[in-house]
Amino acid sequence: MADIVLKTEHLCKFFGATKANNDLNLEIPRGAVLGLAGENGSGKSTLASMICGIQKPTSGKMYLNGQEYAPSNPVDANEHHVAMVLQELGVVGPLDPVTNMFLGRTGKFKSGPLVSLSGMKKEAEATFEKWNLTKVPLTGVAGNMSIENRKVLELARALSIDPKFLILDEISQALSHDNRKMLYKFIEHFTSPEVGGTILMVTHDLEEMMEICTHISVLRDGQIIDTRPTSEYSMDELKRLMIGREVSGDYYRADREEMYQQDVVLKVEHLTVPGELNDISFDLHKGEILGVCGLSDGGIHSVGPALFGLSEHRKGNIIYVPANRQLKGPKDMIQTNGAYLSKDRDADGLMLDASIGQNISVPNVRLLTQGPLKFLSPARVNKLANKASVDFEIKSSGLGQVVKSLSGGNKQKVNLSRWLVQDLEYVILDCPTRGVDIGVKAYIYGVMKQMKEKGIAIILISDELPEAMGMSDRLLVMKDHEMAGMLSRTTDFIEDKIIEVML
Amino acid sequence: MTKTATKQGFTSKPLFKQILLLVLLIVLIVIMHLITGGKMLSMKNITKNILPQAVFPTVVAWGMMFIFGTGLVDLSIGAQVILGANIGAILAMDAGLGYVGLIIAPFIVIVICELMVVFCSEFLKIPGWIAGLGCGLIFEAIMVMWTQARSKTAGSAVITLGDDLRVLGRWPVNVIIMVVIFVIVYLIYNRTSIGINLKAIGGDPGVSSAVGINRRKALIIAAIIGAVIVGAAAILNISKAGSISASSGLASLSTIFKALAVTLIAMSLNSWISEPVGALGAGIFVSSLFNFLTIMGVQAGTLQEVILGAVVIICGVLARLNYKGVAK
Repeated sequence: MADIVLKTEHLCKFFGATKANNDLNLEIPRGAVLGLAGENGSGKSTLASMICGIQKPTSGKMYLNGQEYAPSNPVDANEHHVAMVLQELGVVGPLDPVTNMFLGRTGKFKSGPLVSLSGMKKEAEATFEKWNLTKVPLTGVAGNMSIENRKVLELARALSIDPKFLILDEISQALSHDNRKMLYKFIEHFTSPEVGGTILMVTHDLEEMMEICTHISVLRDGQIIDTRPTSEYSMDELKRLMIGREVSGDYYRADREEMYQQDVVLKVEHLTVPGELNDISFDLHKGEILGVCGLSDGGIHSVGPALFGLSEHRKGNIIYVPANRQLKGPKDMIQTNGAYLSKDRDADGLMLDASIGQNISVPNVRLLTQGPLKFLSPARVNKLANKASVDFEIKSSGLGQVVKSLSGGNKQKVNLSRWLVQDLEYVILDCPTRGVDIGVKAYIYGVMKQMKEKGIAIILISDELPEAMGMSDRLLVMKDHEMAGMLSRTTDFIEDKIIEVML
Repeated sequence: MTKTATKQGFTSKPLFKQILLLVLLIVLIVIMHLITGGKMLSMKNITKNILPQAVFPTVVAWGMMFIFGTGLVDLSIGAQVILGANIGAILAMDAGLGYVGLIIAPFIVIVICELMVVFCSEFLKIPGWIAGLGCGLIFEAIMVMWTQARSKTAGSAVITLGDDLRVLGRWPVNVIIMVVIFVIVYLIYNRTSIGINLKAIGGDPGVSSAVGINRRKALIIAAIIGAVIVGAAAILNISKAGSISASSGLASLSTIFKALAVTLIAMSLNSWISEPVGALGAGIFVSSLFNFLTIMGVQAGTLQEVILGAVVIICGVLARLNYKGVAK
């Protein structure tokens, strides 16, 4: 009989009438990597949060190593050697990275009444060393770190408690190619017989799940539909179980040709942001999807803010060719029917405490005003918000629902819809499918294909090479904050060839 | 396998920035000194004016750091200072308790007042600044009623400390006390779990709860420590001034205006320098600035405050130039 580390019996979590988890029975063997597959809002994160003590079950029981387990809070879970990396970014910006790693456990480093800062730093460095994690800067404040480095820091924080059971909730979505490789190696080592760790992994990247996980449980509407060893699933079957209907296996573009119109929409010349980007030049054509990819910290996520005019000390020219207009900032971009969706939708994209309707209407104010005094028309606001909500199939209790309470995929739909309801000419999408499930992903790719057909130019910045290859006409490959190459879909889209340019 | 450190656009240079700030502070003070024709940095002016006048706003700012640091913007602190200091003076003079009354009463009164604000904010679920303003009006009203009653019974509304009870407000005792408070504040704020937890809940309550920090407990502890420090400031202030008049209609806010400016400067520079050190530097700078303006004949109450406001804004802008996170 398998050595069961964690077992749940009739576990339920209800929020009022909403059954986030309903009668979950699960057994996770030691050394397993159990993937939780399910659509956004299927209850994966709720289950993870109960195991790590953030939320308490409404009913049912959990057992850890055969003993009844009911963590009262995350520290209690940590004391049982259970740790978690949260789906949303989880660092305190104004504090330094080392303090962030030991938040809630600083008492451990007490020397008399004082906390030993050098002791904390030493242990932080030892944790990175022990688990062979990519080293991130441990000085300065965490708020200044890139999203990717923050995620690595969160992983280090989870490992600093010496966990035996680790929950990774959507961690890889924030990581680029090389850090994903680091993560996969870590998972292999952590679950090896020498270490004896067990992992519960939540990811929307089904290819990754099939490759990394030993077992998969499928959740739908808060219930476990199926649990089996990964080898017993096919990709199509997994998708069907998750969604409850057939989903086309090939949701990327089917063609292999670089296809777009000859008209240039944006001309970027010598774009430079000191320390972030160096001398980037390219033309973006009507109906083109221009992918931007590269290794972590190669500078790909600096491209969006720089183009949109959010980076300070930006140099170079960005010209909107149809009007021969120099674009200096967000206002110019919006006036020329451009849009930008940042990678960090919670911090830079959405107003989390505002309603869906408010989030949709704010970027569209110029379309919603009327009369010489530019009064906002409530009728127009409602009409536009309703249209966006219906077109993008946003699951909510209504336009008044606060965005913070939506699932990750629905948040991203709001984020996309607020811009895409406009008649755009070009759009910059930075990781548009981060943290969304397969259904939403397919939907977003469908929207991108429709936009391309309409002649809208798209810059797709992506950490996922298959996504960038699957959707782009050309790939701008970056390395060390510079342009390392421009590859064509027709001739150059071979994974090894792209990685060679990245390296 | 050896891995290389990842590159970041922002490179933290805390030591360089700290030295830069210190040099900037010294240069500014020296420039002011030269403009005043060598009057400002005379030993007499430093010991009689600049340092003693820096004590109250700096110590209050340290107290505010603990309270504001948790995310509770409490604007009743001025009213608490007036109430605490006056009750201390009443017990010292009218009740004849001397230093025992003068020292103990402000601590107890201000801790109780601060906990009232915390409980109003936490349990009635109203924003801290609203709870603070509401409680501030109550604290002011209590003091006004008390002094009105006193004026009928004792003939004077204002309680004045006797000379023998004003030692704590005199040079160099007040500055020595400030230095001692600085050391304690620095250690608690930067080197204890209490300080780390309060900064965490102020920085991101959600993340703090997710890592197991008891937000309410951390908030109450921080409020008590902050109130004790403000209590010390109230004792130093009434010892220096001899008396503090009651105020109404939130006029007590003006009592802590300089302290608010010092707190804002220290908080705006927190990515460069630890807040307690920043508040000490800012307190000395603000005191020097006002002293400079007074020597130059600039009118107090209008232009002096305009210049101070501009300094606060400049510090905020400078400190946020390279910060990618959310500026609070």
